[in-house]
Amino acid sequence: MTAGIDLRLAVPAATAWLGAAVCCGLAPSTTTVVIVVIAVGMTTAAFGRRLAVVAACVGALLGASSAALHVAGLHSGPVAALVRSDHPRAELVLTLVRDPSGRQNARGRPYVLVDATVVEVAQRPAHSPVLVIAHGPGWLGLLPGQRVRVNARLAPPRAGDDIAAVVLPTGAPLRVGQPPWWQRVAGFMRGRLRAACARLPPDERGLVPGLVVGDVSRMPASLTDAFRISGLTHLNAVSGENCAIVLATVGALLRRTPLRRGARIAVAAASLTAFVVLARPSPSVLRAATMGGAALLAMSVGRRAQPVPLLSAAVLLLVLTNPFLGRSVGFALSVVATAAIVLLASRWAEALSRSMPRWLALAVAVPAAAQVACLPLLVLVFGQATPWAVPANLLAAPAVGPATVAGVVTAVVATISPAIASLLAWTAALPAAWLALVARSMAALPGASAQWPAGTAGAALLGLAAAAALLVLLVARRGVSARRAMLETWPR
Amino acid sequence: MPSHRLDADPDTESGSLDRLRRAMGMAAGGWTPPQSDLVGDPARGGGGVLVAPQPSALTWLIIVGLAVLVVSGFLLSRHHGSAPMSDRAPATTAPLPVTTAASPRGEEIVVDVGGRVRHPGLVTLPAGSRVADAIAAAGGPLRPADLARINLAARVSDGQLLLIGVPGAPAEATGGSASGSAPVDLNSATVDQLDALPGVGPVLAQRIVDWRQAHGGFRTIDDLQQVPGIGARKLSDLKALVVV
Repeated sequence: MTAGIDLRLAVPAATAWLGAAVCCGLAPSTTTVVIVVIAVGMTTAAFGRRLAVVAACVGALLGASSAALHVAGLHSGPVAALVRSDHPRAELVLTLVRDPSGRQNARGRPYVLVDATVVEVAQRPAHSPVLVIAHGPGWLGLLPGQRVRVNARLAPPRAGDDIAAVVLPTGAPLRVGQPPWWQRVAGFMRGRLRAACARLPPDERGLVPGLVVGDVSRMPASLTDAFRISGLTHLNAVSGENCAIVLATVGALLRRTPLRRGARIAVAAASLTAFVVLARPSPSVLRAATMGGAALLAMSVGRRAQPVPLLSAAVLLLVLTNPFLGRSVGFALSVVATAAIVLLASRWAEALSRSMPRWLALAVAVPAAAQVACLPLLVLVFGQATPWAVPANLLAAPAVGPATVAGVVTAVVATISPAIASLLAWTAALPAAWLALVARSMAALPGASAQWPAGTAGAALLGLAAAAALLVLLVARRGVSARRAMLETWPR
Repeated sequence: MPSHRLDADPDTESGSLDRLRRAMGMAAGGWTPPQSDLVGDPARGGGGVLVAPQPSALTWLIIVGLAVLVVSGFLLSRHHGSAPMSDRAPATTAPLPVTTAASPRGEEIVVDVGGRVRHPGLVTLPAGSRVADAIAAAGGPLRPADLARINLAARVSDGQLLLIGVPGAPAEATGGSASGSAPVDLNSATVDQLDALPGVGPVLAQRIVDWRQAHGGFRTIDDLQQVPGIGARKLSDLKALVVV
């Protein structure tokens, strides 16, 4: 018999996500009205003791409140005041939040995007997230956590952006102090891994650091496109998968040690944190790490956490601490793919395993479930269908594990001996070469880069396709004796 | 669909440890129900879908959610105070010898001197002044040793910030980086400062100053185009480097 799907935490998590995503684009005064309306609904439901509805309202209420809090925070403080002033120029001290990313505009002119926090405006303390758009030198290569002093003009952000201002520097950044030690360690390791891969062919040189620590700074643009077109993008940057691999590896190693359970959980949590620093907290890494952390927390109180409540708790926690994540496509894709793998893949594998070997059934079901769930988002946001994604993932799957593990070993050895590491890099390069080959040949297949019709027609077509798929699904589910979920996203 | 309308309080277990575990389990997403709740609806054959939470779990959801909101709200508002950063310390040491450079054209510049000087803040100086003048105008350094890593001879430009004796910020105080970091103010810059701009030579710099004196200053950066020798191309090159 089947274990029931436990959606009790999923309901408030989904409504919190929705509330945060919607209210991030609203003025705080409008959000207040929304909050009052939801509160009235919640009270009504509470009197009727319809607890699922109450939970949904509580989630929406929390999400909307969090959004209002953050939007109000962006509109207050010295940075917001300066943006509204007649002369929005000042000397700023910024703390970098992420690695600066180099881009090119339509005319080929390079520029740099930097996510940063303003900590000082004209010598007054501040705390506002900003986006720096720099055309001058001196930004690329700065580490997260680095403070810089720069003269800049401030421009207002677009509504719904998670920043208080756009910073347009009028001079080069001057470094103030050093980044914190852990960022220097992470930067050192990333640099050593890049150096170890420097002698590899161009595709592998870019791909291996991406697979291991999400460092895509050396990826050839054509390869990035090939990964996107063939539906393998989740591989070329660090994703939730890598968090799972790290936790699984650490867990397997710890089981052989005489440590007590509390100590093991502490070591696992520390490794997870270190990995997030090393691989940078992108939305999908945050999602996976929060799920992993929640699983460890449950384990520490003697619970065996179920995947759906785990995912729900992670979404709830992340959306409440940063409501703007609710508008991030990367976050949405990560959550949707995880939910699909947890909810659909095991059932599909069950159905498929009657006509093919079990391992093959699993290998097909997992990417198929993730792809089907992500397709609507991909189509609506990027206007692109990825028809070859399932075979591409199927072909790529055997190489992902070896490439990642060999890459991690290379990264660790590189901190000690760059010479040995550059030899080891070739062991990671072989599976990486296979991945690049799969991506490039799948992207070259007919129809690979088919554009989905845009706008209303595209959405309607999508709805039609979804209805057809649902019909097939319902027919296929008949008579399938679904068994207990065998796919676990998290290791025991 | 299992109903929870009547199980008012399933909290029958006693002991604070159990209570804590349940709380942690919920925070971690465990939120595992009593076994009876997981039985699916027999009428639907397959697995049941569990939607309605228990009242106690709902209470915990509200408590944990509010706690997260309060903490993040506190973290957000913590930095929005607007007290000035540098504390005005009392004078303790001897002043610095003043070496005032005469202003060639009687123009004035304003420099922000911060850090370990006697009177940090804005000082007004003749154009062409040097770092030593700015420090002297701010009452001199609190400790002479603070000046060890500073190029006292560097010229200061209008709108520049000098931080004296602040660890981690030596680059500002070394001067000489004025053209790289601070934009040049067209209405107060000297011929030398304009000369330092890319694509501007001494002749053009002199023409800019002449135009400024003849027309009473620049109102916008685009006024630069009226200076003989500056076209649209050069204007776009200079736009990011100058202010009005």
